[in-house]
Amino acid sequence: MPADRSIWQESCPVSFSALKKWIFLPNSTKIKEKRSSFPVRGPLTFDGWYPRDHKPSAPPTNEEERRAAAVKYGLRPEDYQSMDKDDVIKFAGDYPDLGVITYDHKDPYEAWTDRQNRRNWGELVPIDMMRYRGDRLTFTGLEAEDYTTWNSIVMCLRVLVPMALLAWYFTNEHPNALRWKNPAMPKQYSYDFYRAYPFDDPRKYPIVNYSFDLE
Amino acid sequence: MGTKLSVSLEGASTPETAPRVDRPPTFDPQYGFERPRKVREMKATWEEMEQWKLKPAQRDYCAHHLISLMKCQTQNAPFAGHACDGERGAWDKCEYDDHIMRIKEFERERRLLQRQARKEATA
Repeated sequence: MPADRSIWQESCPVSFSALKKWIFLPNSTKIKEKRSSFPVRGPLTFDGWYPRDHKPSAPPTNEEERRAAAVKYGLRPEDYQSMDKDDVIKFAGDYPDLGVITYDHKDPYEAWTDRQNRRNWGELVPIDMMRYRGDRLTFTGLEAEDYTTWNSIVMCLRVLVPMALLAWYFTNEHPNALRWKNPAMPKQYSYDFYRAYPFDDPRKYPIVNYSFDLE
Repeated sequence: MGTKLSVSLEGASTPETAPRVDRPPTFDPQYGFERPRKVREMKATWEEMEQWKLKPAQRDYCAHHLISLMKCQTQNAPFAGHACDGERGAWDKCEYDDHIMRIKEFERERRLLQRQARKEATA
């Protein structure tokens, strides 16, 4: 209990009958109208603030409710458009559908308060803002999506087909094919090691070789 | 063009007069010489090559130089790089002369094949 009762009474300008309508209490609860006996929840010094003001309400059914919802979200009545009720991902009562406005759609030279996401303080948050972050998914349609499966196949074949042709040409085993040939006869040994391979004695197969000196 | 490129192109364009480099010469080694050619002597013996455990590719006509080099390396280790430069130079020169002789054999085979083709064409 605060010691100074006069200050406490001055900080509670709303009557209890009005508060009773806002506070989510069961109807069976009976609250006495004494000012000093009930501590009120929430920062009442912020005029008009309450958690339910930030919640979407039921979707509008007539023109009056549409205008009220537009005023609630700070939009013009002609700009307001609620979500499709059948859209199970984005439907959220009377929350407005702002359309797809990605990162690249916005001006890069604007003095945004949030430069990372290119938005200002207090702007209405789109329902799928996290999907179209600047580092996730953004597009303007200017970079054409020209990928096709056959294009990728052709791009691979442009590399693989010349490789196959060159490999076939340069690995030709025909003895008369063009190849890099060393102009030298095979090395001369005094024993035939090939004939003696693998287990015979090469001394059984001597070879007579001649030099270019004449006797 | 260089010899290697010329030989490669000749082998592809006129294969009948291109020597085969994977087998010994096909003509008589004494053909065309006014005096007999000298027989190449194997200076290193089989026992020496076995003693120094030479590989088959090292048992050529320069094996005695290689044995001298290995002997010098064994005696002067670990300063054999400088102490044995004479033996290494001798072995390198022997291998180089052997390679030059192989190139001469190739050229001899090539010219004899061309000569044979000319003779067959005129006959």
